[in-house]
Amino acid sequence: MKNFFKSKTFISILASVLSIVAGLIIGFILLIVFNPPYALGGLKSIATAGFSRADKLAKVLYQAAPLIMTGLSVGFAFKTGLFNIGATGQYTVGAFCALVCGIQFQLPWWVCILAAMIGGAIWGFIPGICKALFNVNEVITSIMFNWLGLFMVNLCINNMPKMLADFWGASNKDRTGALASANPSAIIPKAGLDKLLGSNYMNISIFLTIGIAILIYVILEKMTFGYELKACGFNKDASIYAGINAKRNIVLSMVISGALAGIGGGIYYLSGTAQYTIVKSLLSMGFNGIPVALLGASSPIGIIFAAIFISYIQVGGEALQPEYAKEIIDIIIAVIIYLSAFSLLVKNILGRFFKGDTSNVNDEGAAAIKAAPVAVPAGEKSGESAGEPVGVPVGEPAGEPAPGDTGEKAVPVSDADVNKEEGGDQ
Amino acid sequence: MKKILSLVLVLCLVLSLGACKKADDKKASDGYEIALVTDVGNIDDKSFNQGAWEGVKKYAEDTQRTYNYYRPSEDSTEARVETIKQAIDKGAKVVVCPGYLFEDAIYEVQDQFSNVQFLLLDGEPHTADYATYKTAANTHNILYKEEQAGYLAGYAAVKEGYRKLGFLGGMDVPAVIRYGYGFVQGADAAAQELGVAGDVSVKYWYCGGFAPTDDIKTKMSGWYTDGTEVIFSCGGGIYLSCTAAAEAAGKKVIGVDVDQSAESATIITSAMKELANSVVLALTDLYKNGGTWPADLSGKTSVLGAVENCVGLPTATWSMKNFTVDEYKTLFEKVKNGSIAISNATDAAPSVAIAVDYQN
Amino acid sequence: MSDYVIEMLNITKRFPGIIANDNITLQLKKGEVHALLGENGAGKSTLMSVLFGLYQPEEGCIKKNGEVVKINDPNDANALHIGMVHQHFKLVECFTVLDNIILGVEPNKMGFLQKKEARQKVIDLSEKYGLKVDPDALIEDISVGMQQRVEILKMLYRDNEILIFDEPTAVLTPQEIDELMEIMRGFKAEGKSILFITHKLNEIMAVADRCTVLRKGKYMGTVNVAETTKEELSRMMVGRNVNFKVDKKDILPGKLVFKAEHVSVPSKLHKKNAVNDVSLEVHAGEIVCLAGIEGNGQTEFVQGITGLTKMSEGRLELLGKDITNASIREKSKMGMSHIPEDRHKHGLVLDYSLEENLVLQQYWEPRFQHHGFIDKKAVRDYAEKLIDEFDVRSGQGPITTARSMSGGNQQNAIIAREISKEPELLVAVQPTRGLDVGAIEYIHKQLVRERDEGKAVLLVSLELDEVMNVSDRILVMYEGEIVGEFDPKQVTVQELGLYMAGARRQTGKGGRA
Repeated sequence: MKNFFKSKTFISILASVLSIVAGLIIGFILLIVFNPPYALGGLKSIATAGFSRADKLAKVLYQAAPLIMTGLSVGFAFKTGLFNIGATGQYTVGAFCALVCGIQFQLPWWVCILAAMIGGAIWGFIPGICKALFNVNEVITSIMFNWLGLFMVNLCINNMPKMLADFWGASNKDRTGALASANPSAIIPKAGLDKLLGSNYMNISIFLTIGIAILIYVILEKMTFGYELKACGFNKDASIYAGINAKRNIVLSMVISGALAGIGGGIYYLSGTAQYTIVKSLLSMGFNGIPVALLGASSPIGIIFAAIFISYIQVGGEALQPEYAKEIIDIIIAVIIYLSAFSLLVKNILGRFFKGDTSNVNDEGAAAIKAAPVAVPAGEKSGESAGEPVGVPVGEPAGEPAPGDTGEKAVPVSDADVNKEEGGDQ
Repeated sequence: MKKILSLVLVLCLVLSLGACKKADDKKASDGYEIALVTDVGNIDDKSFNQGAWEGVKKYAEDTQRTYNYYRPSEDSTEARVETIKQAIDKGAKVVVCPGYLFEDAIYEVQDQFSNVQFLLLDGEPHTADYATYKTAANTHNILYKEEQAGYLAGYAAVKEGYRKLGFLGGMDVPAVIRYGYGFVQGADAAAQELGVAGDVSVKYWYCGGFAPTDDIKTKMSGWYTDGTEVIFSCGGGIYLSCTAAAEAAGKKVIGVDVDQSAESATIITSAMKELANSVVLALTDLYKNGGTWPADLSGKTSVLGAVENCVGLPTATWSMKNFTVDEYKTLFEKVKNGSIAISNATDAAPSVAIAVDYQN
Repeated sequence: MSDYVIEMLNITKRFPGIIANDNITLQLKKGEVHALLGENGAGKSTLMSVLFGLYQPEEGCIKKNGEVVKINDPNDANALHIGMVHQHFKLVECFTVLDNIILGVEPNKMGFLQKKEARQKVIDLSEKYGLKVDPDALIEDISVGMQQRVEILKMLYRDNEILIFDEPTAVLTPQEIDELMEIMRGFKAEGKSILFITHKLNEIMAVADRCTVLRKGKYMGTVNVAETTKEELSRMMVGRNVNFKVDKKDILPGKLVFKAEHVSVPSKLHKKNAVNDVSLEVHAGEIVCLAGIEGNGQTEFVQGITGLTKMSEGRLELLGKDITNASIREKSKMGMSHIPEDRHKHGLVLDYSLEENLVLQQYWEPRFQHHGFIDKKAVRDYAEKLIDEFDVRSGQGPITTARSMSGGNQQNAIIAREISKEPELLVAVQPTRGLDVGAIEYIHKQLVRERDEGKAVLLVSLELDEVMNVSDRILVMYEGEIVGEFDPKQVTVQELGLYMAGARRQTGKGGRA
């Protein structure tokens, strides 16, 4: 038990919980600032609305499903050393492919989801191949591909009369046709869940995504493929040295990451409730994958809970209407989510606090965030021989600024000097 | 220590703010009786949401009722249904829904909440696949006589001295067609009065969407280059393409639905639906009847026009010189009392003496 | 007035579960070179952190000139004129030397830099101590040795009286080491006090007056260098006798294992080839050593033959098979093992556990995976076997994160992994770099054992002691070419030095090829 409290898992969970609490506190302060008499009730509704009624729960799960997918997309890329900020573009292209199959070609829902997966994968493949072959930073490429994806999808839909709502009887053509009239078989089955929870939002996609999350977990943790991918993520040079085809793995990582986001787009628009609207702004679902991944510490299992949490907060936030305007709610939700994403930083601090092994805490976000200097960590042996907890967050010895120091080592003396003490103990 | 101090300061600030605010929140506990749910945008969208909100606000404040507005979490029928339910949860007895996007949503909720009254503006409830139309007893729909607004605008344009007109419609849906045909009829009437029917011409085109595009702008620029002096831009955001073309060409535009004169200096007037008026009218009737729709409104659709003061041109921001507000008022009275008959047919173009160039 | 300029008296610093410094006393006289000797993890870094105020000791006190001082943070240490040259320099690469030196103490008038005075001071200091530093050169353009001098100038510029050098020679060529020693003697003559952290006994013997030895956090004593021997010091440091001479029996080289012909490798730094037409052979049962000063193409040569970089020309043969175009994985399968130069960059995935690192080259073998699923038990068993066999020490055994292991044990893990692959050819690049005496001895034994078992070993080393002790045949590399081939029994260090420095070359020598 003692070991559990020092374990990385525990520290990760604790860090996430603390970040959430911090987010809620700041959120509460904002609630007070904007409309004091309702602040307490507002906080209560954020905290409880999601479970207050079956149909609210349905909304939580409905929103969580695509969030899990985009979270997995970003988290999977983090794990393999890539920052896939292009999840939103992959999500959009995935949604488009699903809708084209569903509306234009009148195919059943599972074919549409496969198409979404392929669409997202293609949109991940291009930044991946650019990174692997030409060493173009995937962040830049995938940001560009977000916009390319969005406008390409808008262009295509605009020029596919059968895709638009007016073809299916509606008077508007700024959105795709409602699946209910265009092709009911493309709607993800509800398996009676809609009746059970009394909400049209509900379908089986949440179970589908949880299944996919578990699959990703198995790949990453149990398979040689995941071993290779993570090795490339942690240390590309070492994996090349070990004979792993790092370039292939970068491409595969991005393809899988894109496919996950693509599925997310598919399940959202195949729910039968949402219609793709032709707008000129990127869809936030993809970006929300980033805080989900950070909050979930990039662990597929953690991401399931993180996505449900963020969705829960969003549903709770909606319940603040009308005392708080929608815009203010969006700010409050964003603050809570944003602070929740600080879990990485909190984890580093906690890691030091527990004198535990902080070495691994920065892996996920390392690609994304140059977090606080990661100490050259001390070894640890069930509390018996913590080594020198070097790398305390103190400035440079001799009071000099450390301009050349990239922040990875705050060790005042030789870093080769890291503890060998336990060697002596044995 | 510093942190604690600053926290305390923040709290003080917050509490003092709270004290200031307390005064005007006296009636919150029972919820909000009149609710507006926006279609997707906000209440300051210079369009349907704003018009309806102004009406709700005016009526509720005049009659000392609680009111508020709600915005759906996303642009989908399901989200609108959810938001309507939330409004009802928060005590709404009347839910005002501006815009045709609510047609499916109202269809879904009107039977579920039979003790709540729904007011749907510019639409009629139906199923998602348009197979069934049904307006329940607790729902009242309002449509508008767009042809009257269009007529007024067309008449004014010709009287103002413009001879080469244009009509840019969004999509050929009935509301837009009525605007367009009304516009043609109005221009025709003015031309005949002035005896210049031979000089007046109208270019007439539906662009097929409600979003601004470069294609629309290019086409409008072409019209202006060919001599068109003023274009009636009728539908959603397409006025942006039209005003851009007008600004470049130094020509004029007529706005639609609400007073758009603030959007661009090129807008000389707007063919308006007075949403606020219609909401106030409907709510007044509703409460006169004890909070439910009276028999002549219950489950029915009203088509409101000049008689109800629900269409018109904006007199407050009048910028036309040759055609004066007084002349307009005279004209409006004639429309109102029926001495001017305007066809609301949408199946065939009105027969007129002026030249109308229907383009595809 | 005390004899000592700095005294750290009876310092005890505990961390949960361990006493990092146990009643340690270090007294630094004015104008002396004082060596601080200890193995990795003996507590040197903790002691220095205490001196710089990064840690507060539980017991003991620090005195400056006989008066107790309280050092709460590095700024206090700076105010007491204590300065340090770190092993890893803290320099801004794209700044000039002068900018780096004044960084943090920029002379200014109302926010405008006043470099003129500073520049004169730097030039004066540089001349006074024979540092020969150009204040306008960019850091990225000057050699590592020069960068170290910039660090030294930073201390001098701040008028530091107590100069601490942390493993200063690890990055220097033999010639640069000699020059550094000379500079240190110059400081000493000027009355500055020097604290010299090292585990290289030769350097202590060469330059230090006194030496304080730490072992496992404990104070082992302070000795006058003139009155002691290398053997004595190493016994104090390691706690047992250390054999500097590697025992190895004479065996005759066997069959040809590896052949490289006319290998050229392009340089990443300049347009010329880093390796130019190098040919060599390695036979079973022999250790061939590529000697040379750092940066003469050894690294590139090894990267070329192992496949980490592309060769522009040349042909490779392993056990008679052409492996010129084989992938890294194929070479590994055919019996090439590689102990890489940079254990953090190439050798280990630091965020992986020890066991995951131990199968880094073999995880794909059927014994460690079934249908793509890793057999965790097989990996664990294998890791435990290696940990046991090679005495790899770590906090939590197989599940320890590699990053948290000491440098020596990280290297040990790599060696265990590479040797346990039972390779035909073992390529070892500076396998003892940065390790202490005990670990070096152990690694040398492992290399010799491989050789005795009939494996071919290609060793790249910068340490002349290692070159002379371990190898059966020495090839000297200079500017990307092999300039001489020697039998270690028939050559002196001085002679090798001349070849390494490019002063001499044998003609027609190409490593038996």
